[in-house]
Amino acid sequence: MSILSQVDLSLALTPKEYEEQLIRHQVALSQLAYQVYVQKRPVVIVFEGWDAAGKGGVIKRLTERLDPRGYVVYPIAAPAGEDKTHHYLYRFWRRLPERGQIAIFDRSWYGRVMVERIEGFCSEAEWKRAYREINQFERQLADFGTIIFKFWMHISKDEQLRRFQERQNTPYKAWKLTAEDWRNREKWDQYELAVEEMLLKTSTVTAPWTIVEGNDKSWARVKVLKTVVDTLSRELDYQPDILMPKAEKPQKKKAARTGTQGEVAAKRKKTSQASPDADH
Amino acid sequence: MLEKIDLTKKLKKKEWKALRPALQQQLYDLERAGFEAGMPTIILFEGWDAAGKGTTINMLTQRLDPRGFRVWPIRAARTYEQNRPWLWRFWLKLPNRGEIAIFDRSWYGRVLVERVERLTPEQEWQKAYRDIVDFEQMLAEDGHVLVKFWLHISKEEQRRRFRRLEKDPLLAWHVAPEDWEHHRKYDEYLLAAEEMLERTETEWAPWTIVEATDQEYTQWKVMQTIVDALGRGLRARGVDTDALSAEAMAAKAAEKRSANGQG
Repeated sequence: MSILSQVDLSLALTPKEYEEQLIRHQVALSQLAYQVYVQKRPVVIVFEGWDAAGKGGVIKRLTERLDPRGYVVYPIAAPAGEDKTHHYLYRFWRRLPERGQIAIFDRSWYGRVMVERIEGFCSEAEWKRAYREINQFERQLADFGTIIFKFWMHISKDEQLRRFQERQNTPYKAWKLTAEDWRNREKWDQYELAVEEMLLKTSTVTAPWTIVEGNDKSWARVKVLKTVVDTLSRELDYQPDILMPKAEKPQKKKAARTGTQGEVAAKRKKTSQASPDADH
Repeated sequence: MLEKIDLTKKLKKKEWKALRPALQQQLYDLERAGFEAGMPTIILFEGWDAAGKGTTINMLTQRLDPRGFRVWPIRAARTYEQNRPWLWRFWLKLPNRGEIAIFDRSWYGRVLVERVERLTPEQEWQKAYRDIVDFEQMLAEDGHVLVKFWLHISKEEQRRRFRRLEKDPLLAWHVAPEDWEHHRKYDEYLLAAEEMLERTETEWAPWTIVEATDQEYTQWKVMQTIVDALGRGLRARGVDTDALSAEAMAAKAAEKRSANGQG
C-alpha cells in the first residue's frame, strides 16, 4: 500500500473555522518565533509538493505575522554560478540559518531525488546515494540543535488540473503557470514513485516528514501552522498564551470556583509570567 | 602506532635539488589537467607545531598557477561560524570543480586541539569521527581527490626547533606561549592524533604520515604523494596523464602545425 494513496484529501475547514484558527496559530507562531531568537535555536522549514499544491500560499500565511528580521525565505530554482560548480548540497549549506534564525525553503535539497532524478540531471548512482547523504546532512543539523520541518504538500491529479485551468483563466494568476508545469504533469506517475521513495527513505526521528492534505487550502494552511506551533512549543518548552480555543473561554469564568480548574488557571498565569515579553 | 615511524629518514639537499624542478613541473601540469577535467582536489595538512606545514605549502604552491588553487589557514572558529553546525565553515571552503583547496589545519582540529584543550565537550568531538568519515566519503563519491598529511616529529625535535626559532629575531614570532603549552601536552596530543589516524583512515581518503625530521625528505614525500594522487584521480576520469608533459605537449603542437601545413 502506498503512502500517498492513504492521504485523506477530503479534509477541509469551513471559512469560519479557517479564519479563527489561522489567526490563533499565527499569533502563537509570532510568540514562538521570538522564543527561537531568545533561545538561539536554528529552525529549518522545507516545503516540497506538487506544482500548484499551495506552497507559496502556505509560506505567505506562515510569515504574515512574523518579525521579518527573524526569518528568510529561499525560493530554490536550478543552481547557477558557484552553486553549480560544487556538491549539490553546497547551495543549501550556504543558506543555513544561524542560531536564532528561521530559514524557509520553497523547494530544497530533495530536488536531487525528484526533479533531478526524473529529468536525468544526475546519474542514477548519484540520486541513489543522495538519500543517505540527505539523512546525514539532516542529522548534522539536528545534532547542532536545529529544529527541522519537512512538509509534503499533497493534492490529487484532478485538483492540480483544476488549479492549472484556474490559473490559466485568471489574468493575475497566469504568470504562475508555465509550459514546464504541463510537462511535469505528464510525468505525474513517475513523480509519484519518486515521492513515495523519498518519504520512505528520508523520514527519520530527527527530521520526519509531515504530509499535508492540500486539496482544501484552508485545511492545508492551518495544518502547517499547527504543526509548526506544536513542535516549536514542545522543543522550546514554551506555551503561547493565545492558544486556548475560544470554546473554552466561557468555562474560564467558572474556573475560579472549582479547585482543579483554578489550578490550571494559576498554571497558565505562571507560564505567561515566565515569558519575557509578557512581563509588566 | 606513531612510535614505529622512522624519524631518521633523510634526503640529501643535493638530491632534492635535483628532483624538485621536475616534480614541480609535473604538479603544474596536473593542476592544469585537473582544471580542464573539472576535478576538485583537497590537500590538507595536520601535524605538530613547527613540523613544517607552512614551509611545505610554500614550496608546493611556488610553481603552480595561482588561479587554480587556494590556501586556507584554519584557526579557531569565529563567532558567526560557531552559530552554524561545526563543519559549516569547511563546507563553504570546498574547491570549485577543477580547483585545488589546500588546508593548513582542517576539520581535524575538532578531534585534536578542541579535544585536548577541552574546547569541545567529549560527546561532541566523539561524534565528529563519524561526521568526518561521512563528509569525506560524500566528497570522494562526488569526484573530489582527497590527500591528507600528518607531519610527524618527535617531542625532542619540536623543542629543538622552538629554541632555534626563538633565537632568531626574524623567526621568533613563530613561537607563541601556547606553542610551549601544547609542547608540554605532547603525549596527550599524541594520543588524540593516533585515535584520529585510526578512526578516519579510509580507502577514499587515506592518511599519509610524513617523517618530518628532515625538511628535504618531507618536501619530497609530500610532493610525490600529491603527484601520484592527482595522476590517479585524472586517470580514473579517463585523462591520459602521459600526454601532460611539456615535451608531449610540444610534440602534439608540432604535429598539429605540420598537419595544418600540409592541409
